[in-house]
Amino acid sequence: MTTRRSPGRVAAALAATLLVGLVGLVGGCAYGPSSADTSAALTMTAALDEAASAVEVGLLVVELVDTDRTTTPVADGTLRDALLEVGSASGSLADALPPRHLQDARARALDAVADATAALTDARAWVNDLAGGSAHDLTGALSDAADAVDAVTADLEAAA
Amino acid sequence: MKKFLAVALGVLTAIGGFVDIGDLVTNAVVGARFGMSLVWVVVVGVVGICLFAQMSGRVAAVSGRATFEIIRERLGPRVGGANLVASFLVTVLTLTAEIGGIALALELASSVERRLWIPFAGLAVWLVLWRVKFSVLENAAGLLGLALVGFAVALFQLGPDWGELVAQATRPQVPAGEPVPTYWYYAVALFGAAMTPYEVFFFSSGAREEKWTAKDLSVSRANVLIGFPLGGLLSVAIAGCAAVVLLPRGIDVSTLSEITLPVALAGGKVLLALVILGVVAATFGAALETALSTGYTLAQFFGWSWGKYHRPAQAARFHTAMAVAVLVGTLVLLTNVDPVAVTEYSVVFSAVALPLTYLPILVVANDREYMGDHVNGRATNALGLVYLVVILVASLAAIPLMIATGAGG
Repeated sequence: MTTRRSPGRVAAALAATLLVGLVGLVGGCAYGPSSADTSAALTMTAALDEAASAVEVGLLVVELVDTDRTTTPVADGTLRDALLEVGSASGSLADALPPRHLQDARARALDAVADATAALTDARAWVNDLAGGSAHDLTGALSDAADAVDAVTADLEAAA
Repeated sequence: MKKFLAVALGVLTAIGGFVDIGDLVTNAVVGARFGMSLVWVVVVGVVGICLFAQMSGRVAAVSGRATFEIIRERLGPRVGGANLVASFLVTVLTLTAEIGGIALALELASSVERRLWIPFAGLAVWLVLWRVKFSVLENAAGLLGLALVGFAVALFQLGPDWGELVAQATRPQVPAGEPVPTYWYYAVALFGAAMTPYEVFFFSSGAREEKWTAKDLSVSRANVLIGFPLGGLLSVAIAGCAAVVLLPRGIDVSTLSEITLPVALAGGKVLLALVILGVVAATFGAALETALSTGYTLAQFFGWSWGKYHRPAQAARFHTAMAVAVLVGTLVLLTNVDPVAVTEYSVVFSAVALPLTYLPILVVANDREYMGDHVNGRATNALGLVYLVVILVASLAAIPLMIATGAGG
């Protein structure tokens, strides 16, 4: 006795599986407001984590240059990469569409990332000997930016 | 004395040639996120690559033919073809990542943008493939790659809490805040990086390039069993540097420049320069090996004349295949795709392709018609079967984990 299924049945089973999968996927996306809140908060938290990482890179590079432990090309390249990361974080924050009660947090997050960008830009100019200032000043600006990023991250984590 | 020198040279080049862009990036990413808690995967991967590399080297030395030729003949065009497609695509992806790695390292050294270095890197790889002898290109890249020992020096100079590092490595657990699927995603990626398919094809075809016979088996075994584990220690040192410097600061590794930060902190400019030289050599050497592997796999499947011991005109299709692979990799990178992202995908897809690469090798290494008395022993076969299960699990889990974790994001 043969137990082979007909091609029609196999196709029907595949179509049903696909339909169930699609319904699940679409249903998951439109789960409701609380899901959207969490998703927006997570997106923004991830962007802030990226910015925080870039600021820490900036702090380390300033320390390395100040103690003459790295070369200008390497320090410049590392800060350029860090600036790309904060740029990406800023883009993600701008792209997010958080619900009304998270709009203020998003604005503060954008401000914090803008401060981080400015601090990293100053650090890059200093590394390339195109600006004055001291390692102490740059470290202060970067630390302030890091604190601001951390503060908004904590608020968003509490909201998520 | 001559044999000792051969072993010493082989071991040194095996150490220097072990780490490629996949190992560099994946170990640093993992060290910065999970500390030393995934070192066990490097150990599993190194044992696996030792097992299958010595098997494929033995097949080549005893039978006088490269492993892929025998797979095609012994298992037929269908299985051989599946092996070819999977290995070839992954190898081209890996080649792309390696060329990107050369450009990234040169960008770091010079501050000149990487896209300007990419055509230069592709051209240099092709020129060396075309003009330089096999033994010279293999040994020079491997020996210069030893400069990556700078990561181990840096780890010692950082003066870490060794007890803490050992505890993380021996009692692995998922760090707080990291999802469990992400931990396993990176475990699969590390495994794929350690057992990249091109390594066995390069090893067995290289054995034919150097005309190994059964008499050379002891040298081959020493190269693999001493060189690869020491190369694996370099991988662990890269993860260790990231765990000590980057993890406490919350720095996520997404660029090559971040990987070198711990080295500069520990050893200053001299050690940094040494490591950048090592990165250039390691990625350049791996680009040569992957490009050669694309030529080897295609030529051995289709029965073309192949090998660096032939003049390019005598192995025209072999050389054309390599040139096209290098050109494709270079053009892909010129689209401004991120080389680090290419590297991360290449190690995961390596894991996907592993069963198609390693199962045929195990089959051929047990065929008395080719191997005579040099077939696998019981212990080797037992370990080989255990590894096939591990490889299969990693292969099946790779894509679902990649989707579930957003590629480890």
